[in-house]
Amino acid sequence: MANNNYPQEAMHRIAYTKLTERQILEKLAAAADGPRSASVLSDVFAGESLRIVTDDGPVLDYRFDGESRLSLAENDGAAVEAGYGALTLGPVALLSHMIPGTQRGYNVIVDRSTRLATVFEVWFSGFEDNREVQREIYYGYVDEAGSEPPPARHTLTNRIEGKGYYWRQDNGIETLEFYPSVIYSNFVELTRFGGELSFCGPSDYIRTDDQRYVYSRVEAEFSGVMTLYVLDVNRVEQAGVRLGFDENDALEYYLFRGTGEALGQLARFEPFGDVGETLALGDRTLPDRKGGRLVYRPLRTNPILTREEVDEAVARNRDVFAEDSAMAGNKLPVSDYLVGKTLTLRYDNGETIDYRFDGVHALRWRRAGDARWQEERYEAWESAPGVVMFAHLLTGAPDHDTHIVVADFEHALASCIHGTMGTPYIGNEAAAETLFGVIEMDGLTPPKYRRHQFTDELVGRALTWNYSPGLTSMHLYSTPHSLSWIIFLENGSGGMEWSGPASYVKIRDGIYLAYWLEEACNGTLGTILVNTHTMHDCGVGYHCGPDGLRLSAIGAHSRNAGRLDITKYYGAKV
Amino acid sequence: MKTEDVTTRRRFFRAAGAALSAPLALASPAAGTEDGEALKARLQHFEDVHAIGELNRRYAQLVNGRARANSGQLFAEPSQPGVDERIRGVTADDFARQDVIVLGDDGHTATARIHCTVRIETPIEASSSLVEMARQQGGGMIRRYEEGVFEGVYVRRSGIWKIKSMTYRSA
Repeated sequence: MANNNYPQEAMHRIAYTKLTERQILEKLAAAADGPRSASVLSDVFAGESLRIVTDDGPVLDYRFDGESRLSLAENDGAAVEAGYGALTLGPVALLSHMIPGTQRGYNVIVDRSTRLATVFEVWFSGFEDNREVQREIYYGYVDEAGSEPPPARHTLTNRIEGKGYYWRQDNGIETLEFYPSVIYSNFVELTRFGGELSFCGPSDYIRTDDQRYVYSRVEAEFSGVMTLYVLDVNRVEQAGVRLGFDENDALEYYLFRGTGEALGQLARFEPFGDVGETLALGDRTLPDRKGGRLVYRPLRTNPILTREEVDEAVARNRDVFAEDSAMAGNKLPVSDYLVGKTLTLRYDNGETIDYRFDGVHALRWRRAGDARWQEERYEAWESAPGVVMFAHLLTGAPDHDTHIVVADFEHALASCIHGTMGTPYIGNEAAAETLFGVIEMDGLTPPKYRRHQFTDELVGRALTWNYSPGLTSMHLYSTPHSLSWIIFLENGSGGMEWSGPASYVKIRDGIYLAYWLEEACNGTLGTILVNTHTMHDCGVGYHCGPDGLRLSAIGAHSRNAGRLDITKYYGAKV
Repeated sequence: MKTEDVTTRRRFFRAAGAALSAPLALASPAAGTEDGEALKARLQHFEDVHAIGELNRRYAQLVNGRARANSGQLFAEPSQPGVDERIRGVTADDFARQDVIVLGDDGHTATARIHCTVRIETPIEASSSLVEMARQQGGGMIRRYEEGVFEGVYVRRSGIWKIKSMTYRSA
């Protein structure tokens, strides 16, 4: 029976092998003859010589013996021979080769109509994780005897920021790729990983002309594989190279052609006239080493706790709506809607919770059938008339549980995000399940069949969220099961981004309950009730660290940032 | 300003300086006379005020250029802390016309009040991945602007003016 290639482990759970330099060198021996290709390689360079001069970088003297062998002299040094491959996309040619016996190579993009060239020097073993491809970018030109060097150069760009594409490579690999940033990108592996989740990687965007761009990403914090391609935004075609080691540590080194579909355009927030030729990094500079780039490495910066350490931390401190953080600078007013009410939430999984709301911050709960009430601190917000979100911990529950509830009193429906602390992977990583149910209360008759339901209506949409002065992000609801968050650079360009598993529930038309899990990140469960009429949310963060367990408010103002037409790629195929 | 204009202006100033010094030379009484001493004192006054002004401008330059760590060289005691680290940008107000530099009678001390607009950045304190990511790319700050006054105390050592202390208060 055909399988949709769902992996045993999602990409962010794979314990990629820490390859040694020796292992990498041994595996790269297969690259000495050049990249493989499902398409016929181009003979554009066959029999030619090419001298590429770069600014502040190498001078590369190539001699091409046919369409698969070259010799290269770097900086007028001794020549080495290597296998290579080349593809063209209009006037732009991409050539790729490794340098045999080394962990280095070059991917060179030459625009034959302008003589401009961009060189990606690539190498392994340049970071703690040897398998992660490193790259340095050099801009330059093709030197021709008797001709002046062209004054222009290819440049960094934001001109394709916000775009998204479906790609199908000539080897059958299908992906969705989104560019909501100028230094990062999202990718959804429809073929390789079943298309459930989107992932993010540091990326480069370079403009050769208005029609053709160079895109590259490295799957840093995952396999370390680099994907680089020239894309033609008019014809929606690509010609690229993939280099690295897959989850089985097999070498991936091949050229590919691809055709695609443009999926739409998200909003951009740079000042008009800013075309992104420099990165607005504020106080930061790029790491001062060859190939230095901004990379989000959450597992290296967020403390990881064992189950025992979590229990100890929670015993020391539980912080329940104690004070508002920067994530709640624009939160809704705390609501007294529930004060004085007595009700029962009956969930379809059999769980039934009785509530008495004694004050704006004080409630009592008990499981149906229990005699004893448990007091908890809570907070509630009314997002729309009769739609109330509230949350509390379940003191005494084995996994430091929380219930984050959206109760719709006009329809007597309730949905609950049941959060727990601890997964098989990390002790202070939250897990979540969604419970659907009804409100039982004097004066309310709940429906027997209708429930809130999972929805795809947000998928593909992007919304900005301004939490506090100086803290704004953009959400991209990237798949029915994941959510990405993008932080803006100083000038409004999209910056770093990350992604986590998520789900979306429709509460009413235009009102959605979303949660995301910062898995393999800082472990937070984030929940928001998105009201697209008021463009305001309310929500709750659930997080455990060395300083204890925290249940805290979220509140932000939203702006519509566009939509990518991607829902059709996620349905189960016939 | 075109290079030619700059060159023309430089020639003017050199000529003006020469013109200025010529009558002084012609008119300067012999060293030690009362008029000569007064002129010397006025010249020294202007030079000192100019030097202190340059010292302040250099300090602002280092703050604005995110090179505050190099400002120790401007201070009499290099380890002397400057103004609040949260001040990340300084702009003189009203083209510095309100600034006041007062030289001490001893000729080796001075004070100044410099009116300015400052940009204050306060780190966002939060343990979310959003804030962590923002910090890593140079953000994670709440920025605001306010008018205020820098108050400097200066001392001259070995002929060089240095900042003895620099404080800031909002207007």
